[in-house]
Amino acid sequence: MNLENQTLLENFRRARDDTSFQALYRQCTPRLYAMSVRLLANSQHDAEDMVQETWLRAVRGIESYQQQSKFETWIMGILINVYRELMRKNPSTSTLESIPSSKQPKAKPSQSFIDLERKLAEVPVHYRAVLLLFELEGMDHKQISALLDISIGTSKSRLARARQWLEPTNRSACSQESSS
Amino acid sequence: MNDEKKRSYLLRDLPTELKPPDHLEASTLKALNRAHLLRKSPARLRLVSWAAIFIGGFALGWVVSLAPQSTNSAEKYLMLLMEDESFTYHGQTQAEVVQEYASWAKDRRENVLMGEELDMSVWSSVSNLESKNRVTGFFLIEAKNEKAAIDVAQSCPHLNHGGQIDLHPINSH
Repeated sequence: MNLENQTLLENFRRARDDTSFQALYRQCTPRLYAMSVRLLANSQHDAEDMVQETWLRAVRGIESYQQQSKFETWIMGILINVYRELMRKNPSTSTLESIPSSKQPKAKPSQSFIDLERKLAEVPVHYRAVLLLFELEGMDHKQISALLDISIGTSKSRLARARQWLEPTNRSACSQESSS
Repeated sequence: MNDEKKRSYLLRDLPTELKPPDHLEASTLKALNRAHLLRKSPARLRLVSWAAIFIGGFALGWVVSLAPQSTNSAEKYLMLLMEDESFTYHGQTQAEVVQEYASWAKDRRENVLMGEELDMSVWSSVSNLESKNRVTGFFLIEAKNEKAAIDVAQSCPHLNHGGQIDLHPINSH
């Protein structure tokens, strides 16, 4: 945990008031929100609910945070749990069918991150979760497997398939594997 | 797999952070306060103190200015909408009650200058310490004199729901 986050966290633990919460919230939420939006395939409303529920649980359990892991990792773990519960309750959330526009993959990938977001949203959700945690959050397969309650081998294979999905040339083969 | 540890070039352009919508912070704070997960901050207590002074000032102004200050122009009054546990929606939803108040304000637009509903998730825990009556909203109205202002206040649907209204003239100086 960086010094700034640690100070914000200690301030909040001491005061537990609106002001100290806002400071911590503003520091951590952009990362949580980015993950939520991408996990839920750009469903902004669900992503907001997920972030809010994450903070409710985090504040409730803040005393149980032991600083053995980074605070950002700890709260990201809470967000992933909220996400998994959402998936269990509503498995159709964030599937390919719920994505408004199904774009044909372009022969040459665009460098624009807007296009990249769109392509990411087309990656099947189980693969996408592993990809985001590995690529953007820098987690290793051991951490990912613990968070998602999957084996390390499954985490590795999902990462490989997510990468294949983002590569148009490999996509059709991957699609067949995914649907089987 | 050799590239397991490497970050893929595929997501290199993707920002790791996205700006959340502004309203998310307020709604999260509201949810935390509603669940009593946050303590009252000194800033909030200061706000309440200032509000007490502010409202007290209005009350004092009302007592001191017994004589009409102006007969040539309309006077402004603050209608403080208060409620306790006897307040009822009469089976209406909150949205319907808000709409009812809005319709009343529209019908009385020659008198009603503005109105707001207060965020009770912030105020309730404080006001409960002092009184069962809580200020839940206000209207700023204009009337030619106190009697006319009382007439406006008495027509407000807040009274039909069991609420109380405190009416305070605003000093023009």
